[in-house]
Amino acid sequence: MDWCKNYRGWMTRWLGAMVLLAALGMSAQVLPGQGIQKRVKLPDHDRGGSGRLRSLLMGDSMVPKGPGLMLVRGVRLETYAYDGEQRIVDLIVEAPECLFNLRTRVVSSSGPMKATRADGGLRLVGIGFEWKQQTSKLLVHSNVRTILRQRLSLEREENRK
Amino acid sequence: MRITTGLLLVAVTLTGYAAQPSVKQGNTLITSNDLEMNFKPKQIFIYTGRVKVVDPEINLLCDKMTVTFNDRKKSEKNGSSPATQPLPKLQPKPVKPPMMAQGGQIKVILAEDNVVIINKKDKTRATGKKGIYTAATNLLVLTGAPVLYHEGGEVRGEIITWDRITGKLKVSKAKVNITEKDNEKPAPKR
Repeated sequence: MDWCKNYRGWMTRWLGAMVLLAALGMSAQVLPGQGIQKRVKLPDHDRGGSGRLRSLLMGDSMVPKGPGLMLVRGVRLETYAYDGEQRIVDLIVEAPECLFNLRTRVVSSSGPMKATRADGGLRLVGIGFEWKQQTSKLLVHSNVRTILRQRLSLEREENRK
Repeated sequence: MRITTGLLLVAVTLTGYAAQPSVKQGNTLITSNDLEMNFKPKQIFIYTGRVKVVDPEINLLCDKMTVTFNDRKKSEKNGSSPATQPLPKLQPKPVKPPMMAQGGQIKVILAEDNVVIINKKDKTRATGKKGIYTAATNLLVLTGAPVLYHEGGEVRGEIITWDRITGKLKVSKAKVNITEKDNEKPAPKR
């Protein structure tokens, strides 16, 4: 009888665990029509008058994460400068994922990130970032490691040679 | 199996992002706790917290460093970028593909608080509260009780100015302290 009771108890726990796992699996799945968007592009235009594209947030996918908050995965953020009418890619920021606040237009992440100047003049990696579209300001929160493609020491002399 | 594959993918992705960029000769490596990159109206990068600049010749350490870059348009006008030379007016304007921006050159570096500059060649070390390097003049000015430590002793002053082209060092209101070496023998008595 004791053996039978132990068996029932074990079976109950096992079934409970299976049900829990199944429920978790279901909640992790995002079904079509539930808000997932793929290959997203979120442009930011200068609303001051020129209407020019200032930056473009791109992602492999995007899902709602709260009121006015979107979770973007496979992130690539490009900022632009202009030479006359010609648009020039300036900075490229890449991260596995980020949050995009639709109201404040702030892109943020607490995970790893990397950024490069499009001309290769600067490369950096860090942990956690915040891109403020309104002010064109990028904050990197920790472990920042920057490589500048120029020397601080006597660069001018070398250029002259 | 799925979990294992997922974990492997996450690990590979994170490794890619966490990978430190390699430092080639001729580059400058800057490490810090935080970085604030301002692009408008001027390009100003502010590094804070345990800032360390590693250059082939010098190392710079401080608590806060502000790097101001030259305005891109000015650099182009000065002809620092060959890709931006103006075309002759008579030529029809070609349809240009999306081009890459030319990053500005460093204009001024302002190092603040616990500034330490180490010259790797002659092993001299300078400390102070504030250091300003101006690229146009190639002058490095150290203020805030600056001290220059060298093999033979130390020099204290109000302002230490280092001309990086000539290599000349100027110390205003200098107080020189020469350290006697223990192994130096006294002059023989006659």
